[in-house]
Amino acid sequence: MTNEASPAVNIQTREGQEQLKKMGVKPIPAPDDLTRPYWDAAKRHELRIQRCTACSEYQHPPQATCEQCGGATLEWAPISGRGVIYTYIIDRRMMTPGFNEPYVVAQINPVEAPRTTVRITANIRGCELEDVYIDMPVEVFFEDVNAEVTLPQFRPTAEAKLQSRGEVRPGPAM
Amino acid sequence: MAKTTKLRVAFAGCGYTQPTRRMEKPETELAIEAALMAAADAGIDPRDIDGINVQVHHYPPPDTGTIVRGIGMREVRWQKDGNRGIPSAATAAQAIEAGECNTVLVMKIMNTVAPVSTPQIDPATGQVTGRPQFEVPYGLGYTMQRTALYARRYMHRYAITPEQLGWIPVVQRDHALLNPWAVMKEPITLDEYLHSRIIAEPLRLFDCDMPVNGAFAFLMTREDIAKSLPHRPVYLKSWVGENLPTPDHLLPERTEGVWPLAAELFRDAGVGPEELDAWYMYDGFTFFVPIWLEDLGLIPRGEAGNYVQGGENIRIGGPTPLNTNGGQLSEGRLHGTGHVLEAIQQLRGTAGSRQIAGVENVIVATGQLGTGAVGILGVD
Repeated sequence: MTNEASPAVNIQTREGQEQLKKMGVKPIPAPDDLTRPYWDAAKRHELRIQRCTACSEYQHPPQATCEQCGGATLEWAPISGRGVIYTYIIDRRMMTPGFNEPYVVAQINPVEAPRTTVRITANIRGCELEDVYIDMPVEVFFEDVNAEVTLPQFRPTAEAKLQSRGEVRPGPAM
Repeated sequence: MAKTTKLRVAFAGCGYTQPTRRMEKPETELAIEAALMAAADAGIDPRDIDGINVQVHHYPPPDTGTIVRGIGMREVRWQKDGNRGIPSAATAAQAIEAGECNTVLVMKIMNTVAPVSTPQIDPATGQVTGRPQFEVPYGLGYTMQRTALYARRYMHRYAITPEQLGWIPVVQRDHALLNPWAVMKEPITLDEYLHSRIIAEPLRLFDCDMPVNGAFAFLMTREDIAKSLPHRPVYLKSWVGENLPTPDHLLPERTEGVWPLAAELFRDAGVGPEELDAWYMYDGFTFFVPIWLEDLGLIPRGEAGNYVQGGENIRIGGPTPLNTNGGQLSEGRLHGTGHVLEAIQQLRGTAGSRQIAGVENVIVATGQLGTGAVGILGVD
């Protein structure tokens, strides 16, 4: 099905992806039964992730069962929104539609979930790209993309060391 | 479990078309050309090939029947599409061991018409489903970005620098200059590597493999047949990981994957890590190489940066030559088939000016970290 409002785009090709960029398409989540509680909470400006009622372990992104104990009962537990950056990239190629300036993608390990496999992917805002570092303390804020979609995003906390403010950041964990 | 076949299976025959940046001929034509070259190289009548494995990653795939007829195969007793590198070789070896066929053509056809991965975004709504809904809205949609995330953490954890890892693409480029099939023909310096364009920091342009077009083939056959042929038989001595499930390929802190099985790989081959004469590590991106080496226990955890620095350890002529064909970074992206072909060439002594003296056993890792497969290839 094609019409003038939505031209046929083959998203499997590089050309199709470039077309999406030109059309100004901004990727947004399509909540499903498994993921809707996360996005609904974000709409209320709350951060909630799955927690197993049997072993109390957190996990993210959501899964049908607990990846630690196999438990089938998972609750959507509120978390503080504070965490540390586990890893990050500075994307300067900007191939993904909706992204037209260099940006940071980070994976954030929430303070409540010491297991480093629990990571929330987000952009880091509120500082220079070059300020970002591994183990940087960050906190959530909420980006209302439209009436239906809110994306949790992260920014440095007051404790973060910003090079752009002349502060010396910690070196790598050896 | 690491695996071996009781009936030994040998690699016999290598076939290549010249890798090109653009597709210059119909892909079935390239496939037939590479297959006939592999048969001629092996000294096997193409009519006697009775098994076929064709690997592609684009859609629509070429018609296997056209390839079969073009080669002149009399009958197809075994056929299995897909897979890559060592897993393909292992699957073919098992078919031969099971008596399903005698000689298998294993072939990779590369066609850059399709990128390997693109973010799946609904053009009308922008919606992204499945697990990528947690990533693509944040601009994380490509393998190279996920690799860069993993590389950043790895380099941070072990304090490894671009000035160290840059020696991998630099040395592999030098190797490619000795390889007539390699698509890259000019040397690069460490300084040029460090100043190459940033794609997704810490990943640079020269950390990415080079997409190419073409067809690349090898034959596998029974030991008794291989012994009657002109080239020295090269055996698949053992392998692990051909059927691992595919987890999210951004792995946890300590990668598992084939790592716990590496000891079995060496035991079943009867070859220790110290007896390997060359290393063939999958290099879709530079960073896969040090992590593969550490996962397999070839280098202690965190030591890969020091090991490759200066390049002397990994050059042809050094103690552990790495990707002597130039790897995917410089020969071209053949999805692991290039690594296997070069291992065969080195082991039977037909690698020309790249030949390592006295090669008896090599290791070949193909595929993504943690989900790929590893084999030990060797001669008697």
